[in-house]
Amino acid sequence: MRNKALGFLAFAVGLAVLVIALKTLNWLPLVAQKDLLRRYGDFEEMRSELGIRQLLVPSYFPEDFRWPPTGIIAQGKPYPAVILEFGRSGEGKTREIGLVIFQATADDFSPGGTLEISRTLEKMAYPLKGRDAVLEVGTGPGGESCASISWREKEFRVTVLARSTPFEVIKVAESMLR
Amino acid sequence: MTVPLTSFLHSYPGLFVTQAFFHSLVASFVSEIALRAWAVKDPAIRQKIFLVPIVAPVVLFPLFRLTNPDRGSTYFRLEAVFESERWLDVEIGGVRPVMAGLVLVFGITSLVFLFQELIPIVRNYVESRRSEIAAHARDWAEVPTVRAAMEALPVDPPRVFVVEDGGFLIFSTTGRSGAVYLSSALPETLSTEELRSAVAHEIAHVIRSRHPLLVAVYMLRALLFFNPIALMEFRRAVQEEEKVCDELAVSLTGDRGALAGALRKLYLPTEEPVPDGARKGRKTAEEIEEHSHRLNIESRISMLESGYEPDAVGKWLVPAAVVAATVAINYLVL
Repeated sequence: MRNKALGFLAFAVGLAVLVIALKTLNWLPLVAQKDLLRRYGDFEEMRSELGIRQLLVPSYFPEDFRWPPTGIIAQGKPYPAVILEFGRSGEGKTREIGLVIFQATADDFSPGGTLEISRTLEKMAYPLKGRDAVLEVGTGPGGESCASISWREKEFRVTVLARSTPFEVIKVAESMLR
Repeated sequence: MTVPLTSFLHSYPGLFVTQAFFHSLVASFVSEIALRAWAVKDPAIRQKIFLVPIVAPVVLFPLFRLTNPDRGSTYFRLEAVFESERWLDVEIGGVRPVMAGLVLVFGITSLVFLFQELIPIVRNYVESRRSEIAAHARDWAEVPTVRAAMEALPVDPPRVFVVEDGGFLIFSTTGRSGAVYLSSALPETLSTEELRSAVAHEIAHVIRSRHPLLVAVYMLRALLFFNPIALMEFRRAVQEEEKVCDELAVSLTGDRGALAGALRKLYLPTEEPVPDGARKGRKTAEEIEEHSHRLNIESRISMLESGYEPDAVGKWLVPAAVVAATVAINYLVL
């Protein structure tokens, strides 16, 4: 029995070494190539690293949200894609992500994650400052109200998704188009 | 060329192919860690462990997708322990070397599977259907030396035939009408105990071939025809099958030394020194194959001579630990 227990210990140590090796291998490409999917600490740093100039940013934010984004995820390959996350700010707020803006050259790009419309109540075409946008209203996984608006801006598809009313989402989107 | 390849590797079948490769690679490492951690000697346990890197990659990707559709999302990718796409997307001078290398490896492995496994199996199947060996062979009961060896076996043997041949030959055909064939030179070379052990080993192959699990595993392995890890692990499992049959034969005869002696006489003849010129002329691949075969036989003899302690707990514990660790780690390997 003692041998079995020692075997378990050796097995656990071996697995730990394997996981560390996998994590190291996973990190190496990020050193070799700058435009792979990763988190950025700063919006300007991301723009200069990836050379993406044509990004839209909002000037209007719903209550509890503000610039700069609390999280930035971006990639240049296999296609350019940028995700800007906004957490609720202010005292007593949970800091959960409540607003996400993603822009990608691929039409089917979707970041997934916890902020999503899991049940669509209404989906309609919406004219957004001369663009053909699609407005979607529904509820998230927890039953909370969610809305998104998506449109094509040159080679990028832009989507604004929030745990908020459709009116707020439209306002954010309109503020991105000056 | 790169664009369709990239599109394929990002599609569902493409993701299955790449993730199956990395999942079997991880499973292979986990298996090796388990073998060393518990110093597993029992060939039946070792074989079960070698089968994990073959079975796991076939089922894990669809299973993970089914249980968590968010698994391929951006957020999940960022939390992954290892993401193959990162390596596949690395570009140097307009070329994706990892992607190209992986495609090359998959291509070579597919050809190896085709020429070394699929075509020989089909050819063997066709030839065995129209084989007339049995028509020209004598039943074991007609040959006194073989009868003497067979009568002491505690099982109802399958059909056993003696073929007139001066070489050392013993093999079995498997399936529903499995049979054992041995050349007439064998009873002259082996002692009665050695002959009994050799035939018992072949009977073990016939008995085990009726086990549907091994057929099912081969089907899964065929699905991974492109995967070099599955190819390698399957061959290791097949080598272990020989040891499992050795142990089954020993359980029938109760004589470990006789089977070791038979193996030595049949497969390890004393090597005659080869002149330098002749050695240079031999094909390297042939030499490697011979050497590998010799190592395998020596390993079987060593196992028969040393034996091992039966491990009732390890029989399920070690394979279960390997499966659990394989599933847990591979969940975070994309």
